[in-house]
Amino acid sequence: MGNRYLRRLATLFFSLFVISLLSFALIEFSPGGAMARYVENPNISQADRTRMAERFGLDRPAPLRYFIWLRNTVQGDLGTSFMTGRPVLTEILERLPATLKLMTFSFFVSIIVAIPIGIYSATHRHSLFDHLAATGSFLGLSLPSFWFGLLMIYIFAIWLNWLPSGGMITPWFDPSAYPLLIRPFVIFWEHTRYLLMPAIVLSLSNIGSWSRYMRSSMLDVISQNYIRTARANGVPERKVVYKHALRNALTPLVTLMGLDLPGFFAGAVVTEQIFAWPGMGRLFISAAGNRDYQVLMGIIMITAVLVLLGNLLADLMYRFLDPRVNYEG
Amino acid sequence: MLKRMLALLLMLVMVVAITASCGQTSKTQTAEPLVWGMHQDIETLNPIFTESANEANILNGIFSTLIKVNSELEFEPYLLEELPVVSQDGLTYQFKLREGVKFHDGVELTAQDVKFTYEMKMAEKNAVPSRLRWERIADFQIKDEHTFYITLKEPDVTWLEGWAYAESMIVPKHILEAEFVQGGNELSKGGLFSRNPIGTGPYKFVEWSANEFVMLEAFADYFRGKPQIEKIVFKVVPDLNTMLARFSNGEIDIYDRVAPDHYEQLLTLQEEGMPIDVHNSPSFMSMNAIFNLRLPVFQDRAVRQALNYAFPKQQFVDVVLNGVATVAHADTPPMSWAYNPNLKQYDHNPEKASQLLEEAGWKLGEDGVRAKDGVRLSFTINTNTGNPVREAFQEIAKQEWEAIGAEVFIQNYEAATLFGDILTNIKFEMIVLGWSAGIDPDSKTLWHSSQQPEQFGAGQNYAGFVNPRIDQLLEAGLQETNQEARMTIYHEIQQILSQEVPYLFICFFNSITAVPANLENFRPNPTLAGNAWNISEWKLN
Repeated sequence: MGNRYLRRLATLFFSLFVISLLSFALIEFSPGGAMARYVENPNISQADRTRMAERFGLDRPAPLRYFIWLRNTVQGDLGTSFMTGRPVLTEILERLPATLKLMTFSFFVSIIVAIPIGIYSATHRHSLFDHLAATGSFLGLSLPSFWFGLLMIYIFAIWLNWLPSGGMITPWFDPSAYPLLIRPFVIFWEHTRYLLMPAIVLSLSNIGSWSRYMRSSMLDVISQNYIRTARANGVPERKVVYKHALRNALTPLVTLMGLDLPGFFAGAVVTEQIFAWPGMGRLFISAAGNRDYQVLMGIIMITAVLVLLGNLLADLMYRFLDPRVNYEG
Repeated sequence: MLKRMLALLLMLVMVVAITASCGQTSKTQTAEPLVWGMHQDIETLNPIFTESANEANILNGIFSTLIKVNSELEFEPYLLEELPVVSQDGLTYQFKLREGVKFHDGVELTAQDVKFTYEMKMAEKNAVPSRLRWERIADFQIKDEHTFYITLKEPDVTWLEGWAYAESMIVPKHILEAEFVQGGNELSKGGLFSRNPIGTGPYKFVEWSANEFVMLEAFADYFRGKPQIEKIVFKVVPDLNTMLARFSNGEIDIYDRVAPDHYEQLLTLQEEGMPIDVHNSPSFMSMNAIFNLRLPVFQDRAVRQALNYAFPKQQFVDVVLNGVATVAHADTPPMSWAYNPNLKQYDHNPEKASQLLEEAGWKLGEDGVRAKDGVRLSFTINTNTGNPVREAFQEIAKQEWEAIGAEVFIQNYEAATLFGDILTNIKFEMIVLGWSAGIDPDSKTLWHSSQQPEQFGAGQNYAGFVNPRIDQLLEAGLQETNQEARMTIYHEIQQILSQEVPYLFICFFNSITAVPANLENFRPNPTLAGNAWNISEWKLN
């Protein structure tokens, strides 16, 4: 048992190493360079650019820079951002909470919406609701999020003026202006109203795919012998569905959720841009555009760690949901 | 049942609380700050390391410069008693600082701070983006607390202007020196000071939330008197469509550097009764298509002139840019004192273009493409992706030029690739770019033969333009101090440029800014000082 986990851990580190090597090579082969952003500025001469590149150590050969990066990263130092001159880790940690907040919220929104839709569609197959849900899922899967995001902004922020169109909090928000009794609700609402639209946009495609997946998985399980047995034994339908079938139907979905985690990070890049959400996705875009290699590598590695851990967690959940799964075998 | 009742009750309380809180927010709206929308993130608030226009707007609030260039393009003393006095030989400048100017921590500004700012710009380990203006200084002498002399290595009439911009804002020695020493004689662009800036400007720094906003608050001891607007927030809105949306529902008060295709929508908002002013003013930003003159096809002046004749500049400005630009004939914008109004103009005339090519020996081949001595009139236009204006230029140019017998391809790259590789390594045939000029007409780095980056490792003569007369004039223009005489020189330079057309000069952009109608004293400034240059004078009625 312990061996098994050790092996998994070793695989995890090996994956991280391969990811870092590939990413570094990809970034290195992309033309431009960290000084490209200064070319259009007439006040910055070529000599200035050469001098700065030397300060950043960019005049060293790429393999050497990779080994320096690797050595420092193993020691927990992700380097310094060329854009801001601050440690990459600081830059990321400053934005990670915003991204995690958005991801967690939309993850739960996805689950809360997708699972009931899936169950209802499965138990009421070919009903009007089932057809509507099917259409809705395909729409959700195929709508581009930048378009859907703008549409939401036009409806809820401009037309109805219910929600703010972007940002994470009102800069001059001051909870002490409210009576103590309702203060927690005010704070809760202040956070939620900014979170709602980006979270919905981010969860849209997941709701689409997860609800379809839930439906088919549920249908599979319902047709199993043990469900027929349960029904034959006179177990009430509700209990059959929610106790016996649901748990078994959830197992494959959990794997899918684990696999979809990178999708959340990718989706966050676009969503954060539209809704001016100050998270890692935004940092990633500017780092990519400005060829801030250190920041790019940092974000890729931290995302990789989170995704690999997420998959590990999904595996563990899987085992918890289905005791038949045994890593010994 | 009881559980359900309780849950319902809880819901009710929440709804009430939420509605109550909404009411509360609108009541406190009067205390809300002025919100400026910027579409790019900022990187530092330390003027030593700044180079971006966005940062300049914020830094205008926090710091001060020695002089200002006002919206009429005149120099004004700012931290100085009067404009500096220049010696006979044009080498030594005498500066006299105002007395009683205080930093936000109460310490008084002295000549030591100015000298320290210069030293930080030149400190070997500091990754300062531009040293162009600072490298020209030969000597910095402090006479007393408020008087100092700067001597240049050689006379340079363009040098003073630099003191008006964000990169020359004065930093406090008594705070920053410790950081410099602790860092091993090195300042970092992301050091403590860059996140807690202290200057002598009208606004104190309050908070910077990364990728989100920067908040400033009026400084009571500002040397020109406390500004009227209490708080100003600079908010980052990366997507321009979202920016327009947020501006139209009042979340953003100032929408600066408006996208050209948003101009009409803003005017519509104004017509529909939204209380806003839409400022439309000329800028120093130009748009050009650069010929690579090293290629045989573009070495022939007739080809360059023909392509100029065949491109409808005026229609491009009217249709693609909604008229918010001026057609360009050379490198100097019409608002400059050195502008030459009598230049060779290339009005849209495809027949003349064909005729020019025909006369120069570019004959139509069997494939419908002109050629001369085995060189085909075939080339590719590059620009960066995601720039609708530049892409529109390419489409129109391709269509018009193919009609006169050219073969045109379009290939675009992401910005970092275009500037960092295609442009700097001269891998283009024709490239569409924007340049921003200074208020001085000098353009040596663009046209002087010594400024070809691939040969001399310096300069921005990407076109590879070589013209002895131009070299001579550019050098003379930098040494002449009499403005009348300089004007003659720059008129001739523009004359030659419009004849030789090393670029296809397309247009000078206008800069559009939408502000609340009750914002007083907002006067757009086309220089690098930016539109927040007089932020301390703004008033809300």
